[in-house]
Amino acid sequence: MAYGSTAKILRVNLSTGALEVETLSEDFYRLYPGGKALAGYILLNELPAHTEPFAPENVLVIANGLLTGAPVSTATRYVVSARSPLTGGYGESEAGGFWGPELKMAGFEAIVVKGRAPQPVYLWIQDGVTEIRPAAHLWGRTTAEAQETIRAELGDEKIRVLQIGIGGENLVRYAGLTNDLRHFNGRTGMGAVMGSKNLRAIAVRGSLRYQSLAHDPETLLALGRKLSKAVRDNPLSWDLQVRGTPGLVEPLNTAGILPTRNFRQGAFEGVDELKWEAYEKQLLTARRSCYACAVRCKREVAVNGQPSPYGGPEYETLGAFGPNCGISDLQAIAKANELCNAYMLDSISAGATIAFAMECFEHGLIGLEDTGGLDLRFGNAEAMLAMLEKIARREGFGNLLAEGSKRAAEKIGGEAKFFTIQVKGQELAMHEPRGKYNVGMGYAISEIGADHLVVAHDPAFANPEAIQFKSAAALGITVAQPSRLLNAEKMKHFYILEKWGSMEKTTGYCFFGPAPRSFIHPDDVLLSINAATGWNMTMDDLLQIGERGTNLARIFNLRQGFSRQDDTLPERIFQGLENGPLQGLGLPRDDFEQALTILYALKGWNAETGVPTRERLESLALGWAAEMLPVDTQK
Amino acid sequence: MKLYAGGHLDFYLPNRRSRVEIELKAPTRLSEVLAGLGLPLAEVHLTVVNGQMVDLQAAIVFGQDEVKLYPAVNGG
Ligand code: SF4
Repeated sequence: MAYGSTAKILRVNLSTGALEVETLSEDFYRLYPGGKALAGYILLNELPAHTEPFAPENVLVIANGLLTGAPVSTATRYVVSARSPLTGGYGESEAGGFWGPELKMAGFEAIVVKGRAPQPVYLWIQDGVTEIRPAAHLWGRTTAEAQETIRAELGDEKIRVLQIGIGGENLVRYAGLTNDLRHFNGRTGMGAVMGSKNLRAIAVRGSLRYQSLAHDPETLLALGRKLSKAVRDNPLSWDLQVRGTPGLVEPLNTAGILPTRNFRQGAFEGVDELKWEAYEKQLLTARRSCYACAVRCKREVAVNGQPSPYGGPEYETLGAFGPNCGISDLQAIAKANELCNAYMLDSISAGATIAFAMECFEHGLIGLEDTGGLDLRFGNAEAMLAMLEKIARREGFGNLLAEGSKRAAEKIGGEAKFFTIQVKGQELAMHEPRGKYNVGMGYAISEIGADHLVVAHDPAFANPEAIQFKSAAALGITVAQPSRLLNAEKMKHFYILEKWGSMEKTTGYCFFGPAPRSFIHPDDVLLSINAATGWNMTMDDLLQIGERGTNLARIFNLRQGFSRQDDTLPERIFQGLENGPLQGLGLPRDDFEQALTILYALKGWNAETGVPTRERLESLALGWAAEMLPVDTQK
Repeated sequence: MKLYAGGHLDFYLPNRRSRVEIELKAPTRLSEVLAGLGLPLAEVHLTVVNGQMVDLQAAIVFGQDEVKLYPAVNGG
């Protein structure tokens, strides 16, 4: 019976060159229907605890969601997972684009990569036929050059290429992956893991159609048509189409929650140079989309007048290289975006690590002799760009910053550790938790280190009459709460939204598709999954899929020695902002600790240790995973 | 008055434009002006009049006042 899946996993051992195809059962897939849940299952079962991230034994999983490639807007995503070289814990990063759908059309749900190739290689997959090919000629090239070369030598312009850049080759701990040069698995250093395996790229081409895999293709197609029309009739998806994420700069600055100068401040005096109207005038050339997505939130840009092959900077990149580095030069920020994408570095961690270094420089903890003569002060766009080049190549001081801010701070010493704005080793994204307390909770509790996409953000749930709040009723969120509050009701919001977000990462939905963030009503999300699978799931079943994924990741981290102490925030966040409407206000530490205890209870985790109870794991059909918990954590 | 509707608020304005000028004959409650335009007040998260953050319900506008409105913005 068709249930939305090809039921095939490609297993690659780069040490031996072996390529094998594994077939999954429907019963298994029903519990782990792709993406985050499937990757979590494979990592827990196949990756021994404490495996070094850059050892050949690390396991790199690339997994489509159940719906990835379905003819439904925003069902485009795949996850990349492995033990993270940045955090030492569970690594994970999602991206949309065209590559995931193409992999499905080529016949696979996922690729599991083990071992290390003796020489650089790339993988070529066409309609179920697989081949490992030499890639020495791609090593050291920009992502644009490598993609062009691969397409030319395989003789097909429509091949979709997922690849690392020189950042991953050089094991920069926050190197990512890109597909089509415009869609990025940026976070947690998955590109460095791929680089450590000498795997430069995975090229795919397929001719299947998702409809042939679906239980009820007519319903799925009809829903797809309805949603395509709905995009422009919903203010949230309309805004994403017109402005995309760059539209966030101005509203966040007005609210005093635009991270500025390494999270010291919440408002940036140079914001006028960076807001959407400036972006539209100075950079924008066109709008683009991911596979079959009518939202079209991606931007095409020209940088210094030259059309860029890499797509335009998203909000995170504008924030990280802009206000957070004290920089208001939009062209320089767009250039930084190009460099990150040409070399494939996570623009959040790269910008945040440079901002950290700028604060160290201004406090005299490092000097010109360290930076190779670069005057690495806040606001110096030239120095920022020069440092980015050094990081990607691990040259001079760039070699230290390529380690991420936490490791760099340990080396620099003194008060540097107070300037590193990270959780579990991963730098905060450009969302200020002092104005959105559940975003702070997400940074703290996320298994991948600070992540801004764990839950939809607090302001959406502050007004009971606002559209985002109303659309969350279907998930069980019924009592509006202020953004700057942590209480039992807020933790209920968090618990529900986290499950929902994890479900999106498992089924392949983009964060900008389903409500409450955007326009697809939860009932339509449910309809799409049932049309694809024929499983007659309920909303509770969907939320349970999400909860299963977060618990798998949790157990992975507990096995690595993580504990409640790691679910915290940088010291700076507990202190007051230096300027803007929230000047002087920090996130109250006691409220945070109390809320964390409440949240653990909701999640069925031990209040002291943060370890999932056996009872909860069994209710999630994860009894087997309880056996993997270290004995001393099972209090 | 000059009105700028930030974020997704332009969705509710005529021709979905983010900037409109509105002639007011007398000082008027901003909430009434917005209701007249069909802009749902529940979508307005921040109100800035002449550079100052104000309470939407209490704000009175007139003449050349510059009003900027922003919705609750989510992540991304
Ligand atoms: S909403 Fe934007 S990022 Fe998400 S799938 Fe559509 S075009 Fe891609």
